[in-house]
Amino acid sequence: MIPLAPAVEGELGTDVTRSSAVDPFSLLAGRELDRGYRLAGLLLGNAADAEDAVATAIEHAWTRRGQLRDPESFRAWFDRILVNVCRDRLRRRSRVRVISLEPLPERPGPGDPFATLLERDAVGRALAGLVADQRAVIVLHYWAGLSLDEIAVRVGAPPGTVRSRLNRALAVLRASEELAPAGRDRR
Amino acid sequence: MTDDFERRLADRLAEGLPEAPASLQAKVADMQDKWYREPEVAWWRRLVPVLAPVAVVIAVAVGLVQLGVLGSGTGSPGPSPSPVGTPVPTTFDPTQVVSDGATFSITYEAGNVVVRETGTTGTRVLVSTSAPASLFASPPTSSSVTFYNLACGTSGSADERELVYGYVVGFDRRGGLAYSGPPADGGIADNGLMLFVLRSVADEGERASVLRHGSTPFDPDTVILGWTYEVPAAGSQGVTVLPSGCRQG
Repeated sequence: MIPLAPAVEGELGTDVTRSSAVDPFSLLAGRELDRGYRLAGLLLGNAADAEDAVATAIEHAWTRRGQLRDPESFRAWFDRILVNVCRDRLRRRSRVRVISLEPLPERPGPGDPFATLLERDAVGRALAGLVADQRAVIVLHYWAGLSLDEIAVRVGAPPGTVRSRLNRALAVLRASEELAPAGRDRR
Repeated sequence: MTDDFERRLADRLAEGLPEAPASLQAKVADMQDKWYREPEVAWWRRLVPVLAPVAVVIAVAVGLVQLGVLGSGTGSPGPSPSPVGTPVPTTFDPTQVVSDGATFSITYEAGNVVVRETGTTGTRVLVSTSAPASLFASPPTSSSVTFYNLACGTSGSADERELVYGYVVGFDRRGGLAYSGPPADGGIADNGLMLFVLRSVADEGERASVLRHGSTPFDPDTVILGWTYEVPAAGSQGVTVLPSGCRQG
């Protein structure tokens, strides 16, 4: 099995063989790790879930690496896999009834950077409360800086749908800020 | 047009985000290692994923034609449907699995699968989730044994969290992954560890399935922790519990 489509190997400027030090997939995936982890953290709201989601996305991407024809599109391709993994997890949260065996904390620890970010003010809490599809659009647009068309590719929805999700989510976030006590949650 | 609120939103989302943990770097390194170990595959084997769905469609179409659902003609009517399975018991006696001093039992009560744990402090319900009665409508044949396996393991993350946090109930039928009940894909409970209740059927001399972690598609390389049961050959007594293992793909 070829590790990536031939075009990918060629793009890397190497004659990739088994004796190579780094395989193309690892190289491309390694470049996206930090970004992917942050994206997953913002979508899922805690570091543990983000870590699991990225690990799962890497496995999925590895399994499907033969589908990638253009290494330039690796980021969009991996984003799409990762966003799907995160959305599945968010939806599952509302479906699965989880009963703890151990007296584990219900919320992420105080040191969790993503939880801290999201729980810091009313807008963050409102973001954390958005449905999965709306949260994904907000994060991809305002954090990743992607256009609506680029987001549409990643979430597998038409640009018009992305726009409406963005507008609805933005309205919720704006309202949360306006409803917050003055001077407390506003930055 | 970006307004002040949107600019502040973008700024605050970018604040203080951490780098990926070392475990994810290790994950990528695992992929590289896998790449080295992965054998080259002949060109014709790469066609299998392409041709397999076509073969399935053809097989289904042929089957429907034979049943008289598709096609025209004057053939005789197809066979009548199979009789409905045996009545669903309100409770059944499951295989009990002991782990870490606790005994788990699974019963089917009024449309719900109920998982109970009996430990030193007593018995408590861990899971009560609805499940279709059809799952229990096909009792094993005389030459097979049905198991209700409990197993737990990590969610596949590189760091191994040890505590059991949540439970997921799924059912594995022989030869397939017909998980049922939430979540439908046999997924993972939040935050790491999970417990699967797997129903599997094995014939004499065969082994019932072990727990495997994997969402869709099913990934046999991510076997984690579980118990494997070996059905005794005809004439033998007892069920062999094979050593459990823990490995990650």
